[in-house]
Parts: sequence; C-alpha cells; structure tokens
Amino acid sequence: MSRVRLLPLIVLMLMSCHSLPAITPNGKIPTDIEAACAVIFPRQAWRMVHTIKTDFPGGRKGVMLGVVSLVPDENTVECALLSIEGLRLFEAHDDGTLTIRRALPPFERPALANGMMQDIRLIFFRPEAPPLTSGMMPSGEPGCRYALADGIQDIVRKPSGEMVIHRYDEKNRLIRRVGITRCHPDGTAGQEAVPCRILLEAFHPASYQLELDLVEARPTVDSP
Amino acid sequence: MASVRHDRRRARRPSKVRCVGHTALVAFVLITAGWSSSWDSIRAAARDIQSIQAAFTQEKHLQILARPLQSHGRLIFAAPDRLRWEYQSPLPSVLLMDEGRIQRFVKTDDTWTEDASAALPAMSFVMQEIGRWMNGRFDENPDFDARLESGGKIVLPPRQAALATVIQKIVLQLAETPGVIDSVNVYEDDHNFTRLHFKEVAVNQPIDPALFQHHS
Repeated sequence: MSRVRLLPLIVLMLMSCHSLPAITPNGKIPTDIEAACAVIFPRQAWRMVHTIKTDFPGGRKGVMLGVVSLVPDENTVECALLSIEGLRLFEAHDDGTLTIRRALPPFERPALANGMMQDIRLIFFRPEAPPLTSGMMPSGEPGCRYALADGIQDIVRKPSGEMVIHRYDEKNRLIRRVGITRCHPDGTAGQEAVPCRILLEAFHPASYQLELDLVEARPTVDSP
Repeated sequence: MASVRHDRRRARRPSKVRCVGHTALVAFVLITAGWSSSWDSIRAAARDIQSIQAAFTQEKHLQILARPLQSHGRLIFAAPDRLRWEYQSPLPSVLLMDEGRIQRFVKTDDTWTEDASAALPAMSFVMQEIGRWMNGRFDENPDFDARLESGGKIVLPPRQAALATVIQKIVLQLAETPGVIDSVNVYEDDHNFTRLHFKEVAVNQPIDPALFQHHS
C-alpha cells in the first residue's frame, strides 16, 4: 500500500528532473564546427536595426523596431525599442552594469528590462569560455556545448545553414531556443555576416516568441 | 562721369523693382501668414478642411545611430476625427482612428494582423493629438503650453514635468496652404527626435470611408 502511495511521488520527481541532450563524439563531425558555432556572434562593432514581431500567449501580437549598437571587444551593448511611429519606448546601456536611460510603461519593470538585455546578449554575444565539448547532437546535427555560470548553452548547425542556440537553466530546463540566419546586408561588402533573421522562443519563466528581421546594419568602425 | 550716370540710372531702376518686390513680399507674407497669424485664424482655416491626404517621410534621429532611420508612408484625415496613419516601409503597418477607436494593423506574410503591442497606449495619445491639430486646435490640449511664433511655427512644450520626461517639445511648421502642416518635429530630449515631413498634399479630395476601417 505504501508503495502505491509512493508511486505518484516518484512519477512527479521523474517529471521534474530535466536532462540535457547527449552530445557525442561519434559520427561525422565537421572539423570547423567550433568555428561555425563561434562565428554566428558578431566580432566587430555594429549598429543594427531589426523589426521585432512579438507573439504573446493568447494570440496577442505586437510589432516594434529594435536598435542595437554592439561593441563585442568591450562587451558593451546599447539598445533601443521604438514603436513603428518612432516613439522611443526603451533605451538602455549595458557594459556589465545595466543603465536604463528611458523606459515607458511597461518597460519600466526591472524584470522586463533585465530579461530583454539577457535575450540581446544571448543573440549577439559569444559565451565567454570556449566550448566545453563539441560533437553530434541526438538529432544527428553537429553542435557545441558551452558551460555558463547559470546553465548550459548548446549551438547546433542545421543542414540549411541556420544555427540554433538552446539555452538551458541550472536545472537543465530549456528556457530559450534561438534560430539565427546570417547574411551580408546591402552596403556591407567585405564585412562579416550579421544576424538577418532571428526567431527567439522563450519557454521559462515567461512564454513568448520574437521574430526579428534586419532593416539595416552598419559597422561602427569600418574594417581595415 | 559716364560711369557715375550709368550707376545712377542703375540705382534708380532697382528702387522701382525693390518697391514692387517689397509689395509682392508683403502680399506674399500676408497671404501665407494670414491663416497662421493667430489661433483664431488657424481654427478658421481648419474649418474649411474636410479632408487631407499626404505622403510623409519620417526620420528618427537617435543618439545610438550614426544616421537617422527613415520610414515612408501616407497620412489621410477626414474631418472631424477620422485618421489613417500608414507606413509602407520599413514595415507595412497602419494606425486607424475612427470615432475615437484606435487600432493598429501590421502586414506580415500578406495578411493584416491586429497589433496589441505595448506601444499602443502611447500611440493613442499621439493619434488624439494629431486629430486636434488637423482641426486647428493646437492650443486646446491642457498638457501642452502652446506657443504660436512668427512664420507659422507652433511650439508645444509640456506643462507637466512627468510628460516632459517623455516629450521635451513638439515643433510644428504650418504650410503656406491654409489648414495644412508642413512638418512636425517631436523632441524626446536634446539628442533624440523624430522629424516628419509631409509632401504631395491634397486638400478636400473625396476619401473612401473604408480607408478608416480595419482590415480583419
């Protein structure tokens, strides 16, 4: 009888345990996979403008313009969110310390601002440490695994060339999935490719989806 | 001497030309400044406006952008309170104000979807303000201390400090055509502002009422 009582508890415990997908050294691993994982993140300083389409639970949709100014060498990002009509709703500077310059409701909520900056860093900034390992994912696609201070980040290369970031928290829960397709926008010949199309899916703590499409990108300082 | 006489003749003739020029200039100033010389004359000019259609170019100047971000679109107004503010690029979208109801629709993959973004409440405030301007009621919003300057320039600084943290001031330039606005500058602070310039303006042309109704 006591075993029967314990069964739901065991099932519940099993359900609450999350495990990372195995990454194995078997199979045909591309020699350039670690370089491919790293190259999705801009190395030079850029100013970029994206349209941002948001899908919230309940079918609500929203559209804004996102402006980012990145200086990867200095680990610094400035960003602004604008309405389509140009009203600046949010602006912040993050060089390790987040400084909010402007925040109209609902962006004045600290959790929202912090979450937004974390999403921007996930999309545009390479993890600080080199990959923990690289190999084949259970899907049969090559990828890299990075250890972070508060979780794990996998980067997987799809056959289409799209790179997908999987971000897990410290409980190994998948909290973000980001698909990134890069391109060379007009007027940037000779420069590195930049994220043109980004699909970010957030699963925890809040659930939402962001679809970013590049409007324009300009290097802050031209490459020599 | 000859050269002196020649100079005198030349000096005399321009005085007539100058006189005609001055008269024309005064007449021009009176015509163009006439409708924009007082709040009353502006409201009177607006009473003759049944509709306005114009293309616009929008420049967003941001401190973090080296060059302004450009958008293009069309604005359609039908008196007294119907407004369509449409962007063709970079993202096709339309803000509609019809009988006080404000909605935004965004075109994605050839379908129009109603937008419920966080920006909409702020844009409702802006749309209502534009509706007032189109009716010549620039000085009726108690949130702004409206000032009419020479040359048809209207300056709207906010009265309350709370609003001033969002909008430092709005500067409108009235056009020569009575009832028409030439440009709008919305200053958020010293480094960030939006400039709207209107062109291809058509006044009192028939407008299909369906343009103010939503697409879905």
